[in-house]
Amino acid sequence: MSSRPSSTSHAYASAPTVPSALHLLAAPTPTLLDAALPGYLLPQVVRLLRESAEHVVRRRITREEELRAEGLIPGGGKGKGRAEGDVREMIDKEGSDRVERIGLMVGGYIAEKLMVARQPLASHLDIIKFICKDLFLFVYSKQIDNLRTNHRGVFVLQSHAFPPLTSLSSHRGPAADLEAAKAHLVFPQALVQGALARLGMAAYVTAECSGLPQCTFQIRTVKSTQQPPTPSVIGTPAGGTPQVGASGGPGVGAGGAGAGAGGHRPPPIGVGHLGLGIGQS
Amino acid sequence: MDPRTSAPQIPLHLTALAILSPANAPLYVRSFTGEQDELRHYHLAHAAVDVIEERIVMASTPTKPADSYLGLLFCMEDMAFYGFQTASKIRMVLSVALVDAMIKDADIVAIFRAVHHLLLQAIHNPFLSLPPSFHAKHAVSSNTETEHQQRGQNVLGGKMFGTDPDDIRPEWLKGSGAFERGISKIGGMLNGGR
Repeated sequence: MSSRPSSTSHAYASAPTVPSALHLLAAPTPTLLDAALPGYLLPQVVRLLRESAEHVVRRRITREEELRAEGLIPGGGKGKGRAEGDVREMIDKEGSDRVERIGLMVGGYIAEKLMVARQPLASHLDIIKFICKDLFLFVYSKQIDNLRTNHRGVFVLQSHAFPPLTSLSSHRGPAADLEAAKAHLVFPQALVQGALARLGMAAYVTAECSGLPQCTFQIRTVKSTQQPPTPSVIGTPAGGTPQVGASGGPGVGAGGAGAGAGGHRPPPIGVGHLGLGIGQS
Repeated sequence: MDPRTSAPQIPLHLTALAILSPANAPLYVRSFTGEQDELRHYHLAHAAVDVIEERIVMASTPTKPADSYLGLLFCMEDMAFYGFQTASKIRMVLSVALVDAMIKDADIVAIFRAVHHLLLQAIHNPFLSLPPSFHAKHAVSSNTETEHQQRGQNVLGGKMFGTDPDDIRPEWLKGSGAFERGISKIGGMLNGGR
């Protein structure tokens, strides 16, 4: 993050109509931050949250074991205890949940700060272009390289050299690198999702990495019956709350909205060659 | 000194500022003319909400949404009301004492932007939405057992790190000293001799 706006204090200049000090308050000079700092801090944050999550999960498991030993919880068919693999998974999930929370919040804040002096964004495409250009430029000093859409609510953002992944390497080989990359993609994914939510676009974001340092974000909008520019009516909830379907496929027209039915395949992606393995969302 | 002070110009007096959430719930009402007028300004701000909604519908087309600055909403008693909607749908209503001279739009927009910046400073504090168990405690305290229990609570539950504009609570703004001081400073700058 290369710059962060803040307000600075000014002496009271006694000019009658509107003092120039107010105009300075209205457009404060941004304070700048070393662009390399987030690259140092974020991996440590991820690691710290992972440790904290491990502690919480292990404590929860020991408590469960105690209660089970005393017979207060039915033992169930789980056997003597959980396998270490399951525990690892729980820890991973807990850690990534925390990082995701933080990412959502930060994404919302960044989007709001960047939108202060701008015209409101009209369409979904404008919002996505804002994300590709301004948000990524602000956070990673680098715009998204490639944007594709099928004009039915699915957007694919591709970055050829995604900054958090460029310096990722380990001695265990490329397969282990891909695994490690997943942990580092949680935060950017949550950033984008938080920003989209704050700008009024309901969508699902998934981040994939097929080969370091390349990275792909897939954004699927959830079609609701109201378009973003239309003002909301006071008091009435948005007609047709977005369906939280397992596939999250965009529906063309109300009928297509995946009404949570299992096994609903996403519509075929038309425009643009999307030779990606679009995994189970 | 500012060279403009020599030219005869009419000062701009702010009378009230109200900030409303996207659901039109009042987040912050501040009256610059004294405490006794606060309730009246609160009611007038609510009356302004209807005009805001109407103005937004009028100004937005399917291709281009309404601009942030909504302009002069209406005039009542001796005050003129201006409206502003931020990108996250937070509404601000500013009332200014009526003067005969023309008030430039750019000036009012500058006021709104300054308030918007102050608001963002106050709201973008991640610690505001944390539950009370996260508040700082004395290093030496008598009752250590309850503390340990509190710390064991589930961290991810509830509205922690709430990200919506709807999650903003009025007490955050009232309780923030920096926000109050900033608004007072704006009011002081624009109060002329009152």
